[in-house]
Amino acid sequence: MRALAGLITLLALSAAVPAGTAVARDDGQEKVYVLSQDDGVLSVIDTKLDDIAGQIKLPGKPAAFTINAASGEAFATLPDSGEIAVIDLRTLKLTRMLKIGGQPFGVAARADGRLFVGDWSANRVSVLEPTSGDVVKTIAVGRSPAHVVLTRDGTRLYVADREADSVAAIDAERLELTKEIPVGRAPFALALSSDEKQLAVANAQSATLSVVDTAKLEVLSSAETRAMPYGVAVTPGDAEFLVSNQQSGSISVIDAKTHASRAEIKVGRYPEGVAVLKNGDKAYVANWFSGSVSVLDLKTRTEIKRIKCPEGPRMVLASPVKP
Amino acid sequence: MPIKFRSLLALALMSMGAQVALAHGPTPQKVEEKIAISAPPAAVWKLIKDFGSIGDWHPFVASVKSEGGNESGASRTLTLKSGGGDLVEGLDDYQDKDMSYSYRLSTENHEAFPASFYSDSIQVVAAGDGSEVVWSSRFYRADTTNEPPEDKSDAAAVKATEDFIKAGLEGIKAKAEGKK
Repeated sequence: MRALAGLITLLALSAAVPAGTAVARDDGQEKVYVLSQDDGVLSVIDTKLDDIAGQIKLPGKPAAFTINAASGEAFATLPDSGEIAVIDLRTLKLTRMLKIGGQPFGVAARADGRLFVGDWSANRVSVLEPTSGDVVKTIAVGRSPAHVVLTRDGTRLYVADREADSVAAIDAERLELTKEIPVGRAPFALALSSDEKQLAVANAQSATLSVVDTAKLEVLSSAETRAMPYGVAVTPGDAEFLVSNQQSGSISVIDAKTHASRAEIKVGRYPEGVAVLKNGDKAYVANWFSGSVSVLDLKTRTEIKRIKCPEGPRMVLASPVKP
Repeated sequence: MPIKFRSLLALALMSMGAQVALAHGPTPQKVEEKIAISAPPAAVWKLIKDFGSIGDWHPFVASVKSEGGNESGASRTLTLKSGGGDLVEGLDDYQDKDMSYSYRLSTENHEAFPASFYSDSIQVVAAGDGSEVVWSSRFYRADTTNEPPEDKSDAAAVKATEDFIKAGLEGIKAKAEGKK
């Protein structure tokens, strides 16, 4: 029944926006990409119109993705089949599938193309060649690596080890573990501040946000969140953390200095991923249960639109892919 | 000797469990069920508002032990009539004004329920002359590896969740409409 409903949604959407159709006028404007796990669709949101401007159907149920803005590619992990789908974002076409085995989940791409992929059940990060999918090296981390994030210069990778209650800091040049940093219970999502001096870690089970000092590699402070924080972003200028509270269906706006809650914005049900535009005007939230994306105005701290999307959206990314 | 054998077996099962059991997996599932009830929302809410009251209205629940009342962090331990031991659940979010609360599975027990983790929300809303109760669940199958046995698959978890929620909603309806 649910699969059928999903299919109908998909058909309806593909009637409106033919899958594989790229945005007509690509002005290099920042776009938001939403990955829907249940329906297996990557959608592109035009951030001026706040509407879906393009879609591509992927095989299976993709859990997470990353964008290499330089190559204009997205890489989506398929934990059920042990594969990574590679998408050309300029044409919105599937270009290749990398078979790596295991349960790939969190993924990051470095500017030189190299991929870092966590394996949920094998407790490791694999380093891949993006063309062949060949594994260059595997690095052991704590149990159940969830989301990963790479520094801009590509020298360090952070991995949220959900069942180990720690974040792995990995030297991404020497390809070895630098340190496992103990955080709260069940860290799932990560976000680096724009100066990369701080790493925000959303701990799903303890309902806290650990703020890691990236120079010392230790927890600097921690903030309380609402129940089950599953997504986090830092606003440009590093003034605020945005945290998605899965159990309350809301986004908390938390002051990065005082940790005081500045606002709580109601969104759809079971929100997960959250992404902020570079200019700081708007944020986008993946509402997993509702099958929608909430658009938040960060000045007024209100939800200004809810965009219907394929079922099971869990992750959103903002990226300026140029034609 | 039999005792020694049994403890060895238990040890073997435990170590197998340690390999398989992850409290979470990569692909969550969802179920949502609703029921219309011919009673005012406040009356329906009164029936279910106490987190520890599930034993009063859910036909699958044999007994409940609860701690912490309706405060975030409270817990309840359900003993199901079907056997298989206890399920421990923790209260996350409680909104008396919205007539809703959210809770999660704190300690997994695949014998009692074939899910490795779930987080549920239940809410009473006004509908027509009466009420509607909406119960939603986000969960992961018992065996989160890529080749789960049938009884620990997504399908098994979906069915168990649907059955549990539907029976619970029927239980609330029966009680609220005075048919029990």
